[in-house]
Amino acid sequence: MNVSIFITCLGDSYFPRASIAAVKVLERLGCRVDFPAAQTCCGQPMFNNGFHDDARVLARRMIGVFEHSERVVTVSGSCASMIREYYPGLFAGDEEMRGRAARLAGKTFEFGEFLVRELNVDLAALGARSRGRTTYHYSCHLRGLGVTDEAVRLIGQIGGVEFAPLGGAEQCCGFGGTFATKYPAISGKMARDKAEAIRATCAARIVSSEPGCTMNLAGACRRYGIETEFTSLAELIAESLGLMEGGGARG
Amino acid sequence: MSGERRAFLARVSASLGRSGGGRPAPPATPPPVVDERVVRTCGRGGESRDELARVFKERAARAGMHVHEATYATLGQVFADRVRELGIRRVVVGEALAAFGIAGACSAAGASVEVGGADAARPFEHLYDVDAGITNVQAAIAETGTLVCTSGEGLARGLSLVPPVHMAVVFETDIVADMVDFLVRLSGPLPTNVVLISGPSKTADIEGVLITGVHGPRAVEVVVVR
Amino acid sequence: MRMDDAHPLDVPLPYDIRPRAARAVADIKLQQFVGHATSSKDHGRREAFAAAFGERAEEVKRLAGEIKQHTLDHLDWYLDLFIMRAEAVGVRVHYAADGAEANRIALEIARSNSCRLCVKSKSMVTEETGLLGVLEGAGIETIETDLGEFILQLDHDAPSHIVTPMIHKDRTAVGRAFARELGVGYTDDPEKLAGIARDHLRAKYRAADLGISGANFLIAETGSIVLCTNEGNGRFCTSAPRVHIAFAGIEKLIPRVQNLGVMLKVLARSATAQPLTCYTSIITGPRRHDDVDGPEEVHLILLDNGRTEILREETRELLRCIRCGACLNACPVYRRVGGHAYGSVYSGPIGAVITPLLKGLENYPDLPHATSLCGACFEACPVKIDLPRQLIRLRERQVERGITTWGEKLVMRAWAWSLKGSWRYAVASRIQRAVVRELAALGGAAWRGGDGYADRAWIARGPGPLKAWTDERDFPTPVSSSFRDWWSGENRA
Repeated sequence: MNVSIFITCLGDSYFPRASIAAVKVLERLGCRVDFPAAQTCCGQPMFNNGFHDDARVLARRMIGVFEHSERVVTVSGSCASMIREYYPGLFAGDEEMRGRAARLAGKTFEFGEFLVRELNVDLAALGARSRGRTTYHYSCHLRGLGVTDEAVRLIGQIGGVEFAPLGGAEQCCGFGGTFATKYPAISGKMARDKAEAIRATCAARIVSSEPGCTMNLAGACRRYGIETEFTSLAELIAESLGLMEGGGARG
Repeated sequence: MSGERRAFLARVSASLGRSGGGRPAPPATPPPVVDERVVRTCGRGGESRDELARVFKERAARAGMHVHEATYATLGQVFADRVRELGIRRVVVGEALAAFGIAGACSAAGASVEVGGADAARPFEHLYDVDAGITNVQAAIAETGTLVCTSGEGLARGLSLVPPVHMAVVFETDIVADMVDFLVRLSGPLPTNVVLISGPSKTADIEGVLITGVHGPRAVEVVVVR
Repeated sequence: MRMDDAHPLDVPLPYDIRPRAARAVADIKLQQFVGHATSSKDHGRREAFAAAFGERAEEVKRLAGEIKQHTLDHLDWYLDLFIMRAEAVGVRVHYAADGAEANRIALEIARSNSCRLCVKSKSMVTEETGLLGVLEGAGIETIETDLGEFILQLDHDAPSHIVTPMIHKDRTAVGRAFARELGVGYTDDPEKLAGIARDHLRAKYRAADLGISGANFLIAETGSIVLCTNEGNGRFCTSAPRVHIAFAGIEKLIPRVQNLGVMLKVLARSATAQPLTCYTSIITGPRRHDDVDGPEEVHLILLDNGRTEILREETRELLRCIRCGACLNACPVYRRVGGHAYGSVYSGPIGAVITPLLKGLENYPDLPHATSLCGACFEACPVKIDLPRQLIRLRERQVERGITTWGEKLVMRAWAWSLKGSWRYAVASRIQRAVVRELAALGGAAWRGGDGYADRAWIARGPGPLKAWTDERDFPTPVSSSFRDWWSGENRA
């Protein structure tokens, strides 16, 4: 299967390891991966803040960049949901663009979702092994994708991992894009509560499917002296398959 | 149509993108069909009457009502026991139950009994000092353990509301499986008041602590007659 | 527990949510009451739906939403039908374009019947119109009889939740209010407090000559008013006094009696995790010739008050709302800030959308933004209102109408510009990485890495746009090498 990786603007600069890991895992699973270099941003920040004309320009660009891709996979649940839930609606009244948007929406997947639903991956059969007490943060935008426990199932397939569920998993971490800086008191309280829930798991490592949440929660954990290491689902799987070194290997 | 009403409806029509004037047009499609396979929670498997009675009793108890069993022969006795056990001194029996010997049994158990009897001008007035009101029900819903009481001739809505204890007689044949079954029965002109009662009066307004009997009855005694 | 000295709903406009939100977040008691009550209700709701419907839960919600949507799509027809049927059974129907008119109509009815004592059951619509103050100002003693509302009335406070109005108060506040206002000895035993209220309110029911209620549903084909309560006060208010006035927004209609079952099945489960409320009353007209009891007059005041604006296609789905409060309980923001922080009668996600629509977007510019768009409300909603989409729509309207601040506009436009081309993006991305890393170095942050990255620093106190973020949590620097660097380094390009 041919897969185009969509790395997202945040992921490019702040969490490149997640997309690097995704490339390695997808290749290990037999996919041919390409990186359309013209990609920038899905337009979610503009869309969510009401700047829909700008969002439309960026959406049009994305639709063009991935027009000929067979599948589009991204390690960000929220960027996937932007494309899937909102792109077609941005072109109401323009049937041609709406159709193109819907075609992109139909072939775009979040990484964990893609592994489970499209590739029917069984990590245990591939000999995935890791270790340590591990918890998982469910990011809100997965709701819109209909993604529920896919990541937890994948983590469960990795030998040697002790899974510790996160309390209040359905509660938002308080990121919400510009919400975090517009309403820091509210956002900060949500982040703190989530950080304390992470502390309570006594996990050595927390897995996230969303760079935005990771940025927010890792920052909160640092602020409150919680030592749990953050990793993306893709990195955890890449490490468990021996495709990538663990913490601190590259920057 | 009055001018006020016409103007009010015209604003609604305008928001729906229809030009006003004259009566609104009927919908081209009927309301969505209430698909029983989707909404029904009880009676999905054609339960027997015994099974429905069992479910009703279980759910009524879960809703906080006290459930008792009787036959036509023991009905009076069950009420006499209730009267003694709860220390009921004054009771009003609904007129619709006049023929079932309940009044006599309560009286024999030491309560002063009144049948029906409301003052048209102040119909609740005689109920404020009464210990218990006894009513029949028009139906009972197994799904939720619900009693259905209606208004009408000889049917006082105050009896199930004002006294601290409401006692209700449910004949097994009154029990329907699900809300949808009850609502089918309800077609035709409705009585002035239909009340579905699912437990004693409750509140959790103070720190979420569940308290019964804040305005209405503190206890609901349900007597299911075979 | 009051947040302000002023009445909680008496707020200066345009309303700024930040001060109240910050105070609420720092209020440990509020965090406990509201946090605990909402999370237990939210869990209860999920369990109640799963137990009753299992896999079919989403289908039931879809059907409930379709019933409401169908009615709204043909609201003129169903209102007309309802009015005809209600009048046929003796209900006197009145029409109010706004809240003031609704209050005026109620007052006229009370005056023409020489009413002096009014018992009132809980109704969000009367909160919206501010009825209580109007009746009391006219010398008609008016008692809120819902226990929570009764306590709030004694304390001159306002409800902070659609279903559990005094979610922000504890038992000691109730004890103090009762001792002060009712002249009873102090107690904080909930059972005893409820008993005191019962005795006090029974005397009022006995003497009242006017009862006021809201309506949960109006049934078009029968002209019926449906009222769902747990305490029984709604039954008292609508059957003890000689005159009953019901207030209802025009969106309360459903077509048929058969549709009521679906709505009832989702309402109480969503609100309080009960299969049904203790009392569901279906009221069809005033007392008839054969009836033993019941009011001699039933009036219904149909209220528009901005609803016909919301009825327009784009926002119509909002009128499906059945005021169950599930979105409040599910909302992580509501859980932290409580209802009063929204500065209006309707709080939580549904309030954040309908308050700006009812009272002006320019007056409540914060409400569409004070949300992380997490979607918990959409998931909880029993009639499937897409609240996140509606919140985003309001943000779009703000931009269209130029209500957005110039600073935000500048940042967003510049950001968008930098993303509209590969070269712009490459340059902007490099500059951004360099600037943030330089800021970190200047601030003395250590390149201690972690989380798989060797050369990441964490900024603990950032300047300018980073300040708000770093007031609450550290900010990570970008790493020195991006994904693009890696991809070209691997010679894949």
